Amino acid sequence: MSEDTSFEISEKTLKEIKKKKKEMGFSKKSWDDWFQSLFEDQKSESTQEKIERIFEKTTLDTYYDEWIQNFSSNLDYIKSGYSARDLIPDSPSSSSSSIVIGRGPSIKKHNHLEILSKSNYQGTVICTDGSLINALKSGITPDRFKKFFVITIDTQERQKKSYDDPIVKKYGKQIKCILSSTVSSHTYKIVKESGMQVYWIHTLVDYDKGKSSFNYISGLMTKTKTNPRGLPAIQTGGNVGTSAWIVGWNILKHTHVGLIGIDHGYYSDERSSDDHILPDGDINSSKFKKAYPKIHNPIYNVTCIQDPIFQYYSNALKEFILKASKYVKTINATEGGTIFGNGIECVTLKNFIKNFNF
Amino acid sequence: MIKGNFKIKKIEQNDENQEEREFEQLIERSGAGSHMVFRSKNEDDEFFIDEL
Repeated sequence: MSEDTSFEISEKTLKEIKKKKKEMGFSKKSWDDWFQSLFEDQKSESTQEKIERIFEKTTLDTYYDEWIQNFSSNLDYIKSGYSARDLIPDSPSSSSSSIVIGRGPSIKKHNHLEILSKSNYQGTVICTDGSLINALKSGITPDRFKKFFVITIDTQERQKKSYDDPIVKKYGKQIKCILSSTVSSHTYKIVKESGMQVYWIHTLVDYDKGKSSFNYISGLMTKTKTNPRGLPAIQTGGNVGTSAWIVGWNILKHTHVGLIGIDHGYYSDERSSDDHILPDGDINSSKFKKAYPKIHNPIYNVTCIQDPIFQYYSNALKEFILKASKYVKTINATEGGTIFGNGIECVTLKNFIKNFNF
Repeated sequence: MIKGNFKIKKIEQNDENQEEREFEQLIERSGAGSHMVFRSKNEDDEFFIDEL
């Protein structure tokens, strides 16, 4: 079935259209093929790009105002505090390692906190905020692991719970805490009350938008006479685990960064309760299977379920690890999870401690 | 001026596009990340910027 639709253009326009079609290599192809090719850019968006585009919008819609309000509340503390730049060594060691501790399900499954606490690991410990209390309670303390850091980038008030325990106060003075300039002031206060030394950092969100960006404006506002360069800024990869990995090699300048508890997936139907939502719908439909894929890790023969947020995080982290492999060796000692592939060495935690104990 | 005619073929609803739209809606309803992935035309800026 077809219908006729009239159109009217000038002779000059027709000539230019024909010329363009020929120039683009479509002289012998149909008009429809050529028009389709003109819209190819929109069609070629990968699933990863699509997920990133959607989460960029939902994250900005959800948190942008909160980032600005928190930054405003923290500004006086930032101006009178330390910059994370102060942690960058003048002469980085030619071989040094750190281990990032996440709170993914593998951390319990493989007793990794216990294994690390009983080890003689000499490198740096970087706890994600959500793992801090459990790490300390497991014996991973700054008494035994002298180079001890914790990081918070999340901006919600609930993050203060990560520091709300007597054991944090017990060891606070021996722990260096890296805080995003956009964390809740409640988080900052509980960190300060624990005795930790705070080092401020910016998190990159919109710096590519130029002088009108929040990053540019907040960067300018943190510059003072005593700190004319303000704070450095890091990629977060959307989550604190990736931020801790970035801190390991970009701030602390370690040549090797290990990961534990960084699964970016679930081993069963147990789901994270924070921001991960399972929408209503047919979980057996093809769109659900694409949004919630099962990822088989052939190295440890385990299968994880990802949700869109974990896809968002893990796609970026894997891409960044590969791109950064000329600067840092990333060793995933999680013994499972979804972070494997090009540029990622997967070993057991025991072997990480044995082989990268510097 | 030149007059012409488009001969338009009507096709059935594109199932693929429909599924992609539903997939996007599903992603939108799955929550928000705690932070966001930063992208830049200059890839070197994507990891670390010493001074904003």
